[in-house]
Amino acid sequence: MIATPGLRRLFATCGALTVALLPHLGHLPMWIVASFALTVAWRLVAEHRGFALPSQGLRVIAALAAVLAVLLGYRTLNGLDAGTALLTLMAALKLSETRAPRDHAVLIFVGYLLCLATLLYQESLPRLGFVLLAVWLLTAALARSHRPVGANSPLRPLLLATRLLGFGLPLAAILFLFVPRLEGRFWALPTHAAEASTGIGDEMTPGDVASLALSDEPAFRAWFHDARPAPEQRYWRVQVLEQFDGRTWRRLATGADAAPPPTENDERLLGYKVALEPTNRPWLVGLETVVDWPRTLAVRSRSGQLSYHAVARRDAGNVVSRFEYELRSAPAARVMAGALPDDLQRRDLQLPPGRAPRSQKLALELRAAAGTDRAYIAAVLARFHEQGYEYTLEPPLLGAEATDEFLFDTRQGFCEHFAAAFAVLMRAAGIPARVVLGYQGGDWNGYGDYLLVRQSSAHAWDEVWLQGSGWVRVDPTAAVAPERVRQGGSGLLRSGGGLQRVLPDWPWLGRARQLWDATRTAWYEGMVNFDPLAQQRLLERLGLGAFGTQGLAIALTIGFVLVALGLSAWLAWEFRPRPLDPLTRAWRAACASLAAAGLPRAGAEGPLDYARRVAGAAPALAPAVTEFVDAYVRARYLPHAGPADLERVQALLGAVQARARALRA
Amino acid sequence: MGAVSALSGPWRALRRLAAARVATWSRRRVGTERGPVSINRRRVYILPTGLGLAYAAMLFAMLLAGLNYANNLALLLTFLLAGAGWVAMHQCHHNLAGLQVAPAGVRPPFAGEPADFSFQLSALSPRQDVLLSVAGHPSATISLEAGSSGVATVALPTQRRGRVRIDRLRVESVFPLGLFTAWTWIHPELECLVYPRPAVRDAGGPPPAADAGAAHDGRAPGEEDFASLRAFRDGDAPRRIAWKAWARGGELVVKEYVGAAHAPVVLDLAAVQGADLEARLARLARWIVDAEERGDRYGLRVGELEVPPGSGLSHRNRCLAPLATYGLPRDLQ
Repeated sequence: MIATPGLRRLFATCGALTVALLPHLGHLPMWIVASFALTVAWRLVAEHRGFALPSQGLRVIAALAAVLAVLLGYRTLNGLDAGTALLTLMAALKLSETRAPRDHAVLIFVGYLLCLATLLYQESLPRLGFVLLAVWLLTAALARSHRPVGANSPLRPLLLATRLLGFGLPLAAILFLFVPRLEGRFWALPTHAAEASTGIGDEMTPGDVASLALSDEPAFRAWFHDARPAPEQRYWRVQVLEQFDGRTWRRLATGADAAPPPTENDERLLGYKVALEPTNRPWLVGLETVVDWPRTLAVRSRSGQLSYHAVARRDAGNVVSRFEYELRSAPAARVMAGALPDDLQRRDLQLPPGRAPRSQKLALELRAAAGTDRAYIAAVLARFHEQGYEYTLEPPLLGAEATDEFLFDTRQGFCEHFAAAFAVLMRAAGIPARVVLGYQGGDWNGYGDYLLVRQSSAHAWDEVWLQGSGWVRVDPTAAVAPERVRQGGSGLLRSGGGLQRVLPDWPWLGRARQLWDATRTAWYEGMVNFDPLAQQRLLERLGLGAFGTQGLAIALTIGFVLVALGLSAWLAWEFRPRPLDPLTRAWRAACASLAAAGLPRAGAEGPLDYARRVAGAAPALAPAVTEFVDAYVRARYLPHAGPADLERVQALLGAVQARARALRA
Repeated sequence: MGAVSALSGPWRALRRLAAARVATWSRRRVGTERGPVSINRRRVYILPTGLGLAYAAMLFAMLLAGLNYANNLALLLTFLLAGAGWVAMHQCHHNLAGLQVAPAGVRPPFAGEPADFSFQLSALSPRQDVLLSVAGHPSATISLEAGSSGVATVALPTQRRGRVRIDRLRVESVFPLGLFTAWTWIHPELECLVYPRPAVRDAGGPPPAADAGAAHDGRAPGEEDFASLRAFRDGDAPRRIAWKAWARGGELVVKEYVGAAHAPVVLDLAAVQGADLEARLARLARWIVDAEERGDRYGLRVGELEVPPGSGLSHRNRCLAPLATYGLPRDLQ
């Protein structure tokens, strides 16, 4: 195939655009990807074979059809998903009429916008790398597109783009550091309503899930300022379920309280920062028991549950992007040790009448045999441990009386089954109890000094209220599968399912995973989370902290000046006069010395005329100048002039310079 | 559409007015420059192109999106593209500064053909995609290696005989991304004669018979006595070139004859029949061109002016020159 310059130019633009589109393949509908790919292929063939491009009428109809199709598919033209789809289709349409450099430029601008959309979807390090590659190719295509068709070698535009982006980088860094970030937004984000929620939900129905898929995704990370919690203390509370209808446990919808829950024995405090991955739910996570939190968060003190209270940010409620907050917890604290208010007591003893009859009967028998509440709890746990209960991620489905079926028939389940059954047994015996959903465990990342908790560490346990002790945590799963509690999520994974089932347990693989997660986390901390606060900290480090927003302006100006100086230096180097060929150098040197002697060459004077004039004006110079110019003209204009002629010119130059100096003196 | 076209009239008039003011200003600022011009940085102007404005609008939209989504990477992308645009602006400006432009001759055309004004561009550092234009007629773009020079030719269309002038030469470049256009104006005050377009060959017959007879007194060209070969010089008649020798791979040589002393013809405007001056000049031009092609010796008489007989391209041009301006009002001469 003969690649004409026009085809090469089209190929460069299409290639760059395709690279920019690649990250979107996952969420774009098949028909959009297919129409783009077909248009690219057709356009390249049309360029190669010289086919006619579609008429304007056809293009208008196609454009209307594209808008209509996106509108039907997404029910909107707004938002990130629909916008990306529309951009892709418009690129395909534009491609079908691409001829002039301007058309190429429009396509390339669409490519830049696709890159922006890629980053709006996800702010990860690999994505930025990919986007930079796409931007590099797009910029090269832009440089290629408007240059004369024959002027480009294949590599030259790429080199040019490297330089432009490379020298633009310092300016980009200055702008990135010092352009003020906004608190709040211009307009609401339309995209997140449609996105699925992840993480812990706000209800639980054991027996409805036949197999629990464990996701290896990070749920959150925590940095501890001083001490770390011991592995058996790593219970991360998210959700408290208190309402039971016989099958499903639900959260009680109550508002937030201003005061912390009444706690005792909370001297040993752990201060830490949590960075929560987006969940699209309002719930936050905190180590038990949270006793101190920022004003921007809300805590329902009676259950000790945190929620995302929108004070600083205007998007009400849900955690839609990575969210960081500071907490302090007291792992040994006793909550509500004194007394349980009547309304709470009623709520946490509630059982739907007539449900789970066998369980209620069992509870009463065991309680009567045990004598005390504590002995009763021990008896129930012992029953789980001894009477053939099995921990499995693939339990049988349960019917209407799920509690009875689990306790007496199937005896197979995961943490939710055990927690739910335990709470029923407690309530039936008159002990206030509730189910807590959250995470248990976490992997310590030694590279980044933080605790990483994955979605696979999600867990359910119970709290019972005991006179004198307050709310006490009981984890019935530990009675059945103690390794699940000791080792946290990854221990479960090793014995259960997930990716690591197929991969051998190489230590270096684990270390590599940790290193990667630490890199990714440092990336988030430094780049993605660079917010007004971080900006202020940077200013303080530069000594401009006292100026606030003005400090930003000052830093921006100084940075700009520095970058401009650097750029000027580079351009001066880039456009420096290059060394001349030796013959021209010799000629110029001769002219300069004659000019110094008072005989400058006129603008339009050739060498021979000049020599004649000099010889006439200064006879002392005549022999040297005439000989020199003669040699110069021979070396310059004779068809077969060689190095010997050049050497002769250089040899004669000295004589001219000496005579000229003598004349001047 | 109605509103747009209603606005475009005054808008265009305003732009024309502004362009005229800017032209006067730049002319006053640098004056007339007949020789080589070295473009210094102070006279290189730069503005964003339409594409550059679109780029800026796109960056602004990206900035808003980045701030609104509180997305630092989107902002980084925006700033990176802004940085690249900024570097492109400086590079565009530097691409012209330090360039040397010198007039490099002009070839007078016959009316209707374009007048080719050539300019030599040279620079000590590499230059990319420089374009010359006169009154909206562009040359091809030209790129220079360091320390080299190249010639760009602007073709100005002509309609009638007389003169064409270049009042203002625009030197511009949109290198490297097409987002900015840097330009400067040079006022070289070049001009070029436009010869009358020769009449069609049979419009009015051959030159006056009395002289023509003397010119062709039975001697065919083949009977001239071949004397020698000499190297080709600009202006030699094509029919005297020894094409066979050239085709064998030699250099371009011209046959010289002795004894080819044609009786010279004097072509006289007064002898050309007809009422319309333009038609008569056209026929005279045709005779001159034909006589030159045949290799005749010929002279010219136009009113008072007389060109003694001769031949060769420069002689032909000396004869055509009076025809270009004859009888035109003084300001067109």
